[in-house]
Amino acid sequence: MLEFAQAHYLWLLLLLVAFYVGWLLARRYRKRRVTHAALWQRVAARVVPPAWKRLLRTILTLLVATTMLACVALYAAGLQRSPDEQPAPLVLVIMQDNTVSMRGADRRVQANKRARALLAALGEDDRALLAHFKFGQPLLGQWLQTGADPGPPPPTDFARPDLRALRAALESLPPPPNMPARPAPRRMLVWLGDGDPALPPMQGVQVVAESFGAAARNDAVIRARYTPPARGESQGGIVEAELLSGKDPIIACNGKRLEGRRVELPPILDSDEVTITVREPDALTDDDAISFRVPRSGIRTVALCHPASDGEANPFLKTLIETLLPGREVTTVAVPAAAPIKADLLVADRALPQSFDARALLLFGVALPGDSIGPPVRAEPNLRAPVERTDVGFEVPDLSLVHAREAVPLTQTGLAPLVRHIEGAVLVAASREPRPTLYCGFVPHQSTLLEDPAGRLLLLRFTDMVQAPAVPRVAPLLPAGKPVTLRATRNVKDTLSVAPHDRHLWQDSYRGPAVHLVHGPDGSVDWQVPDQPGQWLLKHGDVGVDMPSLVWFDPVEQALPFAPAGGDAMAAILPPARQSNWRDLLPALLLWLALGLLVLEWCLWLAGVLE
Amino acid sequence: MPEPLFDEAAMARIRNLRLNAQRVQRGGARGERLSRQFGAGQEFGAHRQYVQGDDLRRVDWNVYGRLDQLFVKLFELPGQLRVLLVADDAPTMDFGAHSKWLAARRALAAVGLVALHGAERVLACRLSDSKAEVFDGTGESRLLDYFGALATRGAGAVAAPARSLFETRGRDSVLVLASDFQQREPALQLLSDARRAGARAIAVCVHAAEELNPRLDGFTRLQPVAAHDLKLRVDERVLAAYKEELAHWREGTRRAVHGLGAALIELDSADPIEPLIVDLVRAGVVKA
Repeated sequence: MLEFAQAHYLWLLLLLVAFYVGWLLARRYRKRRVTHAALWQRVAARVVPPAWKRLLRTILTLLVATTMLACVALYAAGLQRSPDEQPAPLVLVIMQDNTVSMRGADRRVQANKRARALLAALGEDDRALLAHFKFGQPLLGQWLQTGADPGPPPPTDFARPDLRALRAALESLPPPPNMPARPAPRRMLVWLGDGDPALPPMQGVQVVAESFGAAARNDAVIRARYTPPARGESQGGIVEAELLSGKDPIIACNGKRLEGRRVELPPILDSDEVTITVREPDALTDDDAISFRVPRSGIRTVALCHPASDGEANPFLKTLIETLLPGREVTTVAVPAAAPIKADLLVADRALPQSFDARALLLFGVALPGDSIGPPVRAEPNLRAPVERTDVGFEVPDLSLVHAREAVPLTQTGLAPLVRHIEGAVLVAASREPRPTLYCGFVPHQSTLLEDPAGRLLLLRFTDMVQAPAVPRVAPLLPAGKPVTLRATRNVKDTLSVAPHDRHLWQDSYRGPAVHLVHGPDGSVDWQVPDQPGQWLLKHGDVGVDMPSLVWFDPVEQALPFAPAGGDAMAAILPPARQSNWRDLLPALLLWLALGLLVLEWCLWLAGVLE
Repeated sequence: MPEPLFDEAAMARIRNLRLNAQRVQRGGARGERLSRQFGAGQEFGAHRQYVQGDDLRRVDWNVYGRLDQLFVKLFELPGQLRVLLVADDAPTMDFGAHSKWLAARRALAAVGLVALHGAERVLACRLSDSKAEVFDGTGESRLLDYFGALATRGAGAVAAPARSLFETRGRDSVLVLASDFQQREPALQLLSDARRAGARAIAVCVHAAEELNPRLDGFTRLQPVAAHDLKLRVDERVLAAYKEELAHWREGTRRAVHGLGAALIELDSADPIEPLIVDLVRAGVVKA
């Protein structure tokens, strides 16, 4: 089947048609009636050119028409070479380096532009595909033709590229579809990166590496660790961080800016977020900061409710609460209250608001909805039943020395009874679920609870229990790529899932896979921490329980190395130079011959030789 | 229906013309002017409708008695002029946007009308006719009809000049020949016969504007009348050569006509008839 090499030249045939139509119209003889036939005969004998001139004119016309037609046909059909003479098509694999170092400055953008230029420079028969690494393995795209759009730069892959897998993939790469077997295509790998990748030799594949960008300085948070405070410590934990440059990092938390490699966080945090940053922005900005969440403090706000008839809250009770929970803000609320009460710890002194939201309850002489209280009783020292041993999260001290003029017992309750009156009524009760609750029938202003050491110890132990932070299942800062063992807190049958947190991962990078963690028989589970830095979300069912931040450190990549590879991919993809012969010049020669003949005919006409 | 040769205005101008033949002036009164010498025993020639001023003694009362119209008698004296009007009916005469053939017939008809008005004998024919049509003083309308219906001869017909025109009384004859002289031999033969018979000859050479200044350009297939086609690319050089050849031809025609003792008047077919009459007056053939 005939294929036109330069099909657009066929439009020149329209010019030839127009030329011949005009020529024929101009040479059309118009009939005119005349007289003086003898005079016209003599005139014709005088002015009609001789036969040789007419022959010359005819020859020139035929030559011009023939050469022009041949020229147009050759340009339109082209000089199709035999398959052996035609340049071999190119099978090009454009490998875009998507390691972390390519994120420095605009290396990725430059490499992507180069890929676009290479695609645009391909020949009609050439084919190319784009490739990059995903989780360390080569990922090959589909076959592209010249002028194809390479799309945006590939996402960053934090895993180490597997060059052997790349070699195996290229050596076994099947030829593109519809590519003729003759001549055999040239196979080439163009590596667009920031240095020589030191690829292993590949059989039948030419490798060209080209570097983009320039050397740049980079600083990064390469190590970070958070140590929670021990029970009883007044600080909020210790953050230890290290920068690639060796300088002191900047740690921001609770609206404060701290500097140092080891920093003690303030005890009370307005925010759970702690950010560790480098001192100055640099070429790679993604590793300049790490944010993580510290374990949440149990009690931050306290609401002290009292009957509105009292006028004010019991000052002794308020003072004691402030002593037990230093640093917390204690607000007093007269009940009934106009608005719902929201606090971490709600202390109800004989009055409980109808609507409230609290993590823990400390009740004095007022029962929860559903419970009921009995008439006040006199509680004399040493006249109470012994304390019942129940696991309520803290140990109840001996309250036998506390006496009350009017103690308010519970007659019906869902709480666990701890201290009973001698007559059997429940004076102290507690519960851990659904929220820590302590009921105390010793009303402060009617008893010696606040003055008695055992009474104070009871309140101290309860507040210690409710303000202790939840034990995290995983540390808030973890090194990326290293396994971590998680332990079940209660039920080993619970299933945990870990997924990347979309808002806290590096942009334009491959997300790590979401996994489910199943505890083993011993209650532990090993989690292979992924390579992708940023925050990950640990879920228990549908509820997020922890959000560890992965600290990624690769000294080679984060140093942003740059080494000119010295390759020129654009020059390499061009077909090898071929020796031209007369057939390549024939169309141009015919064109110039036609033009020359036209000029000759015109000159002869100007000179009067031709009519 | 043939186109009328003249309109009313042209007819009025023609009637005012009078013949003034040279020989008649030299030999005494002839025709109408001499008819006033009534009673000299002249031979009756023809009748003419009475006009105011005519001598009532010349009125033919017999005719009046038959027709109730006044006619005067015209007497043909021995020296009466014979006007011979010959139209060259060659096919080349039928040419031009303003037809040469029409122009020739108008010219001859005008001369004939003037002659009839002067009571001269008028003989008219085509160059290819062997016999001439005779018109006397009452034949104005017939003369107009004759020239109005006259047609050129076919391409194959041969012109044979009527020599019988000059067999008698040749010295009293005036020949007016209208031709384009493209077939020169028959016309020159007629002029030669007139010279031999002693008749005065006047040749009117009729040209068409397309012949004098042909408007041709580019590749042209020339189709000459009664000749083969000729392909030619006409440009300025060709037109100049044609005009040069035409000038030589006109000069040759003029010499040939003058060599036969005849006068030559060239007439453009697009011109009005008055300049021709002026030329005739200048030539002394007619006078106003």
